[in-house]
Amino acid sequence: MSDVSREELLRRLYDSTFVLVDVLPPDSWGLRHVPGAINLPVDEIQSRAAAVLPDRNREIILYCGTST
Amino acid sequence: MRLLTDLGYTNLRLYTGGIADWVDHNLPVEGIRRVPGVAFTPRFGVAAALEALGNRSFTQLAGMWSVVVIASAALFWLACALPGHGLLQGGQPLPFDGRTFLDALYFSAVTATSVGYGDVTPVGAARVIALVEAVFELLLFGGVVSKFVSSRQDRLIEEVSESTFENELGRIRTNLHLVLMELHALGDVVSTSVPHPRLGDRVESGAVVFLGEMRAIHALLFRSRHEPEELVIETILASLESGLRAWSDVLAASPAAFTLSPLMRQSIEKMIGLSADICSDCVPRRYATDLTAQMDRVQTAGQKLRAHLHVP
Repeated sequence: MSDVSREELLRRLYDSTFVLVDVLPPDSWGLRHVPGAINLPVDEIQSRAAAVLPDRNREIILYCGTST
Repeated sequence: MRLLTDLGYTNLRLYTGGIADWVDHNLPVEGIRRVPGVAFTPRFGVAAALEALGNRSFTQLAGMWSVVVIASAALFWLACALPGHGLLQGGQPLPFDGRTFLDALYFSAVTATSVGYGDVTPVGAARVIALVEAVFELLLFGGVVSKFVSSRQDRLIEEVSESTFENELGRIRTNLHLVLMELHALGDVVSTSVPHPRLGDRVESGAVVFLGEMRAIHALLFRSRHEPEELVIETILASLESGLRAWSDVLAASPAAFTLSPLMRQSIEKMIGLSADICSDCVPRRYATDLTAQMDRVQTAGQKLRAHLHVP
């Protein structure tokens, strides 16, 4: 697993080869998110991951609030 | 992250900077709700009082108005008990008795509505009460009026946004129908052996327009604030599926009838990408079974296009 830089994310933002996932709470996502990001809050991963991310082999890029 | 790995996801990556890094670099963001706290919210003074009043319901405001009228009436009435204070009628002070309470109520209402007939007049402390009551009731009345106006405005805005949405739906359906006709025409052309000049251009523009419609449908399913009727979505999805199948037919004729231009290839790739998102489990809302089955068919039809994207 590798990290994604901001430059790479920006460059690839509008291609559909990956799923961009915002793991912040829905409130934060509703306020602002990287364009095209879907919302899957950390505490809902267990219950909703299979529905939101059906393809387990697809490239998935995650992000949260600040540097981790 | 580990949660997802445990669930069997293999290709996970992390944008370490997170949304904070993204925002710090002034990159575009999307959001649905208005930023709370950015709008001007006064905390003190008359403006704050008005703001607080504006947040009350119509009934609450009317209730407050009545309470202030009655409470002031009680104060006027009590003031009558003190010599030199209270209410005068025809120049004579009103006695502190039960009948005077009705006079006080009458005076209070006349003051609250800022009518001020002047048949009953306040003296002493009652003057101060009357002034305070008049100012406060005026503010309340302003709150009631603004409430009334803004609720009508909200309704109007909702109606406008709904009719825009209906127009958008209508536009998607019409355009989809037109692209479908063009696609079927293209299908006929490529199936005849007669070479057709500029066929590539037609396919290319067809692909671009179709992709545009697909984006609109995608946005309808994922981003829309309004929920379209299921029947409407079903029609649109059926057209979409039929369109994707037609693309398979048209692309099957390549490279014999025309060559795939980079733009065509790009458009088709994006179509495949978008169709991957249209399935019963991926869309954010829950729909009837018929509809979700239709979504899955759209996804399947979209993924079949991949076979035609062979590298020459």
